[in-house]
Amino acid sequence: MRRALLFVAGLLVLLIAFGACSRGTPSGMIQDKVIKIGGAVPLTGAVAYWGICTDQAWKDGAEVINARGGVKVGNQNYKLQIITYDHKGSTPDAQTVTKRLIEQDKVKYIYNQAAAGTIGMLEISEPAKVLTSVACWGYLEHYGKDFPYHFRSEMSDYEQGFAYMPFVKTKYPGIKKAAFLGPDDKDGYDCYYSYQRLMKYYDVQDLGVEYFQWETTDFYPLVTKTLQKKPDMIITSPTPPGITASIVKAARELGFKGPVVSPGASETKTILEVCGEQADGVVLPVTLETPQTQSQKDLAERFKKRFGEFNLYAGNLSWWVYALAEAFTVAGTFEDTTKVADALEDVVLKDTYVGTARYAGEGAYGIKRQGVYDCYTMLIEDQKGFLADVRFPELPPGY
Amino acid sequence: MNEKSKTLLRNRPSLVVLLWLAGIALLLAFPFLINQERYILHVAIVVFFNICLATSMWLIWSLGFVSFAHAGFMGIGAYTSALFFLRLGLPLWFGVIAGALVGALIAMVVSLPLMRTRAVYFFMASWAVGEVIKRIFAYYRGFFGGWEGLFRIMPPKLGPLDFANRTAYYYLAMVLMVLIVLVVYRLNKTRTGWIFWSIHEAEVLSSHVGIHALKYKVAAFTIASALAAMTGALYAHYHTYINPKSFDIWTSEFALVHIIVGGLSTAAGPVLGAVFLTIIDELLRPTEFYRIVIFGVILILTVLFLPGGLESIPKRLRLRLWKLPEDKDTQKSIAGAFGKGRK
Repeated sequence: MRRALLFVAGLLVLLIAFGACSRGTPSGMIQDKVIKIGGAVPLTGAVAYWGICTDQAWKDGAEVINARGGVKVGNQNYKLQIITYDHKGSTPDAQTVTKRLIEQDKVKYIYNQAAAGTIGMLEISEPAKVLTSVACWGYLEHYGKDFPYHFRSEMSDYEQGFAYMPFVKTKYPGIKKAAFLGPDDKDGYDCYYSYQRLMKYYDVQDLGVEYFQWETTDFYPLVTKTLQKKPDMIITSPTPPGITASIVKAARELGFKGPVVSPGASETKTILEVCGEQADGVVLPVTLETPQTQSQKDLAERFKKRFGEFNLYAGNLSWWVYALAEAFTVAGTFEDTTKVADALEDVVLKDTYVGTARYAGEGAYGIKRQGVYDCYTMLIEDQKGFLADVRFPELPPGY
Repeated sequence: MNEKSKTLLRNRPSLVVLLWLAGIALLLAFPFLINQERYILHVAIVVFFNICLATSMWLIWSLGFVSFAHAGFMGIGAYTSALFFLRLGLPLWFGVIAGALVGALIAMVVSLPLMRTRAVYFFMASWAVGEVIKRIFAYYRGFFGGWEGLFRIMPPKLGPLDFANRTAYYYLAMVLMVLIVLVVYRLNKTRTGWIFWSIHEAEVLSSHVGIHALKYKVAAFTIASALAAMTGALYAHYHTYINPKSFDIWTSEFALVHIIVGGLSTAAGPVLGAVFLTIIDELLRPTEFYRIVIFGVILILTVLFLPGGLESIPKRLRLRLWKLPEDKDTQKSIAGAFGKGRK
C-alpha cells in the first residue's frame, strides 16, 4: 500500500512538473489578437536535432515579429502564437499531432520537419486547406499541383546542386565522372535521383550508387567498391557530419584525392576532428558557419541568448516565419489560406540568414512552392573550413 | 480464509461480468459524453489499436515468450487489406478477414522453427522475423510501395454508414478491441489457456505430463498474430496511409511496455497499460522535449512502486481497505502472487 501511495504521490509531482513545463500563453497574448501557428516537429528521437532547430527558428522569428508589434493584416496588428508538439519523427505520431493542431487548437498554419512526419501530416492538412511549411527533400509524388497548400521551404539537395556544381566545376575543372553514396532508404533513393538529374545537367558521367545501412560504421568495403569505378568526385547525401567524416576518412586512406561533396552535413567541426588533414577537399553546401552580414551576426547572437546555443541549421530555416508574416500582410487575411498561399509564393526576402530567399519551382514541380536561397558553400583546405563560395542557385531555364 | 472472503471470492465472476457491461456501456456513450470532439475520438481510436496490439501480444506472453515480430504481423494485416482495397477495390470487410488469414498462415509457418527456440534465441529470431517482414515491404516497391508506403486506403462504407466519419470509426475500432480482448480473455480461462501458462511456468514438466508443447506454442503464436493482423487492417484504413516504418520493432517494444506497466498476469494488464500510457503520452505532448524524460520517469515509478503493474492496484486496495484476507500469511502469499504470472 505504501508503494501504491508513493506511486500516486510521484505521479502528482510529475503532473505538477508537467504543468510547469508545458508552454502557457505568452504574457499579453490573451488580450492581443493572435494568429496561431502550429509546430509538428520531432523534438525527441533520432531526428530531434532537425526538429529542435526548426522549432527554434519559428519561435525566435515569432518573438522578433511580436516585439515589433506583430503582423499587420488589414488594419489590425496580430501577434504570432506558436504551439509546438513533438511527433518523434514517426508517421502515425505526426498524424496525431496534425489532428490535434487542426481540430483542437484550430491552427491554419503548420511547420514540420523530416520526410516521415511530413507525409503523415499531408494526408490531413491538405484536405483541411491548412498551409504547411516544411523541410522535406524527397517524396516527390506528394508534392506539386495536387498539394497546393504544401510549401517545401528548405532548399533540397537538387536546388543546392545548381549552386555547388558551378563552384565545384570551377574549382576542380577536371571532373568528368562522379559516384554517389547514400543511405539504403527512401531518403537515399530520392537524393540519388536528385544527383542523377544534376550530373546529367552538368554533363558529368554518373558511375552509380552504393547504399549503406544507417547502422554502418565501417565504410571501407563500400568506399572500396565506389573507388573501383574510378570517380573524380564523390557525392554523399543525406549524410550527417559523422557519416560524411567516416566516408571521407575511408576514401582518403584508400587513395582518393578528389572532392567529396556532402549537401546534408552542414558543419565542419566533426569532419575535421575525425579526418584531420584528410578532410581537405570536403565541400559542404548551405553551411554558413561564420555569419557575414550584421543581420546574420545579430541572429546568431539572439539565438545564443534565447536558446543557449546557435545551430546554423536553425539559421538556414529562420526566414520561413518572416516569409509567412509578409504573406499575411500582402494577402490582407490570415483566415483564407488560399489567398495566403498565393501571396506566399511571390514573397521575396532580402538580407535573411541565407541571403535572398524566395519560392520557385513552377516549371520543375508544376507549382511555385520550393524554397530557394543563397547557397553558402564551405570548403575544407589546410585543415580549416572556410566560406569558399556564395551564390544563388543558377536554376535551369524553365525551373 | 474467513467466510467473508469466501463469499466475495465466490461472487467475483458476476462482478467481472458487471464490470464488462459497465465498461462497454461507457465506451458506447463516450463519443456523446465528449460531444463527438474529433481529436479526443482520434486519441480513443489510437488507444483501441494499442489495446488490440498489446492484448494479442500478451497471449504470446502467456507462453513465456516476448515476440518482437508482433508489429510485423500487424503490418501483414495492414498491407493485405490495403492491397485488397487498392488493387482489387475490395473494402475493409474483405481485407480484415484476408489479413487475418494471411497473417495466421505466415505466423504458423514461421512459428514452426521459431517456437523451437527459447529465451534470448527466440528474442533474436523474432526480431529478425519482424525486420525481414518490414524489409520485404520496403524492397518490393512495385507491389508494396517501398519505403514510401501505400496511400489513399480509404475507410469502408456499410449501407448509409460511412466510416470516414470518425465517430463511426470509433465504434468500429471499439468492436475489434472488445472482440480481441474477449477472445484472449476467454481463451485464457479455458483448458488451453491453462496449458499455455503451464508451458510458461515449466515447459519440460508440461511435456512430461503429455502436453504437446510445440503444438500449443504454434497455436498461440498463430492466433495472436492473426489478431494483430486484424488490428493492422483497421489501422491502415483509419490512417489511410501505411509505410514499413509504421510496423518496425519500436511498435512491438511499445506494446511490450504497455504490458509491463499494465501487468503481466491477467488480460487486464495490457488493456490498462495501453490506456494509461497512450493517454499519458498524449497529455505530455505539449511538454516538448521534456516529454520523453517525464514519460521515462513514469515508467520507472511504475516498475519500482507497482511491480505487479496497474492491474495489481485493485487487489492491493482490497487487501488494505477490506482487510481481506485477515491472516497475514495468506495476505503475503496472495501479494506475492502479483506479477508472478497465473499460478
